[in-house]
Amino acid sequence: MYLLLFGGGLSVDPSLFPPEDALRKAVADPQRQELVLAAQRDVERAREALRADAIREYDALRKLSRDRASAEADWDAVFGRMDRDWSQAESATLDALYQMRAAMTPEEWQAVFAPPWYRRLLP
Amino acid sequence: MHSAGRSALYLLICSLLASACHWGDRSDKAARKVFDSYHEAVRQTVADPVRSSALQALGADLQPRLRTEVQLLEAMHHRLAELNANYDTPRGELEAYLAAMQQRRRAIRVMLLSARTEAIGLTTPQEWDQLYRRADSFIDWFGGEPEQY
Repeated sequence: MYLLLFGGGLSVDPSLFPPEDALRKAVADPQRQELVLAAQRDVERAREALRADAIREYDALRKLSRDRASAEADWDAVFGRMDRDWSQAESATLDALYQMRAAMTPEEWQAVFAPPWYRRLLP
Repeated sequence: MHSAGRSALYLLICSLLASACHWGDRSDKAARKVFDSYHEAVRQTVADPVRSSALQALGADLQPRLRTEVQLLEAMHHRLAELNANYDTPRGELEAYLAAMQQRRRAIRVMLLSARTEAIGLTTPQEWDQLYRRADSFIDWFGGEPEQY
């Protein structure tokens, strides 16, 4: 929760992570399916990289929160790193999503990303 | 979650944040429970009535503001999903929306850090330590493992 609110969480928004089975089902053409699944793996890599970065900052946030004398600059340093990690993950995710989009038809895209699947992931 | 004897400002904050992510009736009850517990911890730890009242007012002020902020963020998550589901949404529009979401999170950070700074000014080092010890750590209180989030 700490990371979620202070740093943006351990993952880019879950609605941007397509389930592999839905992609396989929506894109029947084997060549395009391979492109789509490769992009999906890139999305997963971006997600995992962000998770690793966020866990690394976890201890720093924890120490700061306990330290009554922690300075604003200390917080800014951690938040700055987390913002940078977050931006990189979002950018990589969008790169992959738009590669995926280019290999899919609007109908296929709609079948994967339209409700109700992502709603299950949302609060 | 176990809250007995673990009340402090941070617990209050985090309980509000936790419940705010799923701010239904049940979470509201949980937030109120921790909010009451926070008041009790402040009363027991900070003997000075003026500072004690100020600390309690700080928590009371923070609760609705946090709730509003997180509800806004929640609505933005829904809108982001809708934007992404539209095949024709330009990348720039998604980027701008993600940036706006991050800006909202930064605003919540500022709010929390401001409350923390104010709370530090209202406590002695000993009181701060006592409140924090009671809290263990607000991260631990939520289960301790970042992977859960």
